[in-house]
Amino acid sequence: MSAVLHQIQGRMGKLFVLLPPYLWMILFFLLPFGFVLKISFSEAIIASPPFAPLFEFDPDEGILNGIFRIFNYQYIFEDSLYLNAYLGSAKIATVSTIICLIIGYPFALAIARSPKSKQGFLLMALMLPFWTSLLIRVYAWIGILRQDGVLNNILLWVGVIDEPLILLQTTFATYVGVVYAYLPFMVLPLYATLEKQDLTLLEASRDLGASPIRSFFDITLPLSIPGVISGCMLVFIPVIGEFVIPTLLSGESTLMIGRVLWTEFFNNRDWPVASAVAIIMLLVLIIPIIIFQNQQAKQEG
Amino acid sequence: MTVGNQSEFIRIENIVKKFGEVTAVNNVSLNISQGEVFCLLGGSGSGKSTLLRMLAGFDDPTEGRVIIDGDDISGKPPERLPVNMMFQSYALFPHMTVEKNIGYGLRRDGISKAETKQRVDEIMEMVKLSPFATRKPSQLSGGQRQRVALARCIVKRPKVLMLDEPLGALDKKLREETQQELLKIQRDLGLTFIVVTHDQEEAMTMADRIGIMDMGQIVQVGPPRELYENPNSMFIADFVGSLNKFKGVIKGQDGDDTIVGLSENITVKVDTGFEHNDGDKVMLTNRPEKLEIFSADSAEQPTTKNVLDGTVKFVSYMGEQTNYAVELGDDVVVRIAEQNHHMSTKASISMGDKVKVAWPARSTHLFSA
Repeated sequence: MSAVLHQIQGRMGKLFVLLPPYLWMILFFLLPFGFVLKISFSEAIIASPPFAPLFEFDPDEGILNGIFRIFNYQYIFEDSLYLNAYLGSAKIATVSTIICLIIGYPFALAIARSPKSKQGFLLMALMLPFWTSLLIRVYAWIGILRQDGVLNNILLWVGVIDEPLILLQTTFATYVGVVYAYLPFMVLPLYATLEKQDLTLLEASRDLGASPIRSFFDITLPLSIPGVISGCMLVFIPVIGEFVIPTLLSGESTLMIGRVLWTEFFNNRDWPVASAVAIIMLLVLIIPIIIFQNQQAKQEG
Repeated sequence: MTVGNQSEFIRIENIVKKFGEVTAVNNVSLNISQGEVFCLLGGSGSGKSTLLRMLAGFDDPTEGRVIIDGDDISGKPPERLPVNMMFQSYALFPHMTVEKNIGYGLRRDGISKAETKQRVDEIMEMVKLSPFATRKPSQLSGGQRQRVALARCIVKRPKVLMLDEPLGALDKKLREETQQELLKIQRDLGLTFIVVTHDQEEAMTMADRIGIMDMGQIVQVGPPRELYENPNSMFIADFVGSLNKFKGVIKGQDGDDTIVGLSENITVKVDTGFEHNDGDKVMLTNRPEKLEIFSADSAEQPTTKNVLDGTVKFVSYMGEQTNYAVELGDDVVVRIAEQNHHMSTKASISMGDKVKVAWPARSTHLFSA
């Protein structure tokens, strides 16, 4: 009797622990996603809200008509603007991720291999910029990159250049801003995996005849792949949809999907197309992640 | 093939290692011969691991040098030493299969894929790992992992193999088997082993010679029997095996025997070369298994020089042996360990019984107090 009671209690306990995250996901992810999905099958009209309802009840016939309009998707595939924006975003996200990885890996390795007593301080220093609003930090970059900005002044003074470089309003500026803003997201998961690594493995590989560099490529790097992947995802996924940084630093010169979304929503007030754009982006991102995770699970199992 | 002297295959010359203010290894000199199993035995912080790390090339000595087979290894990185180390944690590469783990060192030495494969197969056969060639370390048992760690080293045919607590992670049954396997491989391949351990039993059963370390120094070097029977200090006597310790005073001399008073009423004769003057304070030690216990009223009676009367305070039956604690009077308590092969008269000895303790004059040691 008490065993059964105990079991029930155990289940209730488990439910109690699992419920909040599930509720959170349902309320703040699944439900909004449902709304966006629904709107993407609708049609822009001049009303409030500015889209046609999906379901209409015909009282004469006693029929509930559901109209799923797929022309928003058709439209996205037909107009090359969208494809270019997706590709532009993907390119910027890919390149930024690679740059973040190249800068972030030595960064994370240095923190992970420094004395334990200093690691906390170094991580604090890494996180410190987050204490200032992103907007302010991006404005600071405007100050640095503009024609009479800090960087140009220094280069002129040193004599590397004769006339100021045009850095703002170029794609270069977006790379600078994005790499700057997202670097900690690369460093943190890398640090987490590198910090856990068993250093006797490196000694073993040295002992067996590998040079320090060889040991890095044979042992440290392959064992840090999970951290590399999480870091890359943490950078790549938000950068794909990044809006603020390219808008402020590159303006019209860089076409990214975030800007297209903004334009559809707020300038054209075409919510259905904007929703379709968002849904396609989500699918493009989520499918590779699912494939990757299945692969990962298979390897471990 | 051998350049250096056989008995000086490894020469450790006045090695000192300091970490800041702390001296971890303090002026150690040692020769180890080819094909020997040498054990460094000591507690934690005795400097034995630091010494091992210097021999493997992970740390450089602050002073002194190490010569292996005629080559001074000081300052050389570990990858260029003819020495391999079996780590206490085994340090197997978790992302590589058994085969890859074992072949790793050969590939790093630039040995061709074909030859690597052949040598890895041979070694896997030898340590009975062939069926597990394609497994990852996480899919192996503790004993199998230990064998991979061993195979990974010996496949390189090192001049010296260092083993850091080689049996520490195995359970008791497996330890004995593994120990024998290790020694068989060592003999078959003619390898030189340096074993670091804190477990004196492990050291005693494996080693040709043991070096006992304390506070960064080697306190005594010798074969296990010598360390056990003739410890050169109280520390060694106490460190190896179990021990009876008594405070005593030299009372005089009787022929070859020294008379030592353990208390007002108890004196024993000790046959030892210990130099002394009457009235010197000493520590007297002996091993519980060297003493014999007899029932006071038993037909069989002791014939040793020292026979002491006592009362049994404690009996604990351990299976292979029985341990007794006997009070000899004046609060002097001696521990006795008897093998349980002739149980007839002694099985009945129990707490509170009057007994006689046979205490041989030899196999008792005196140290300055």
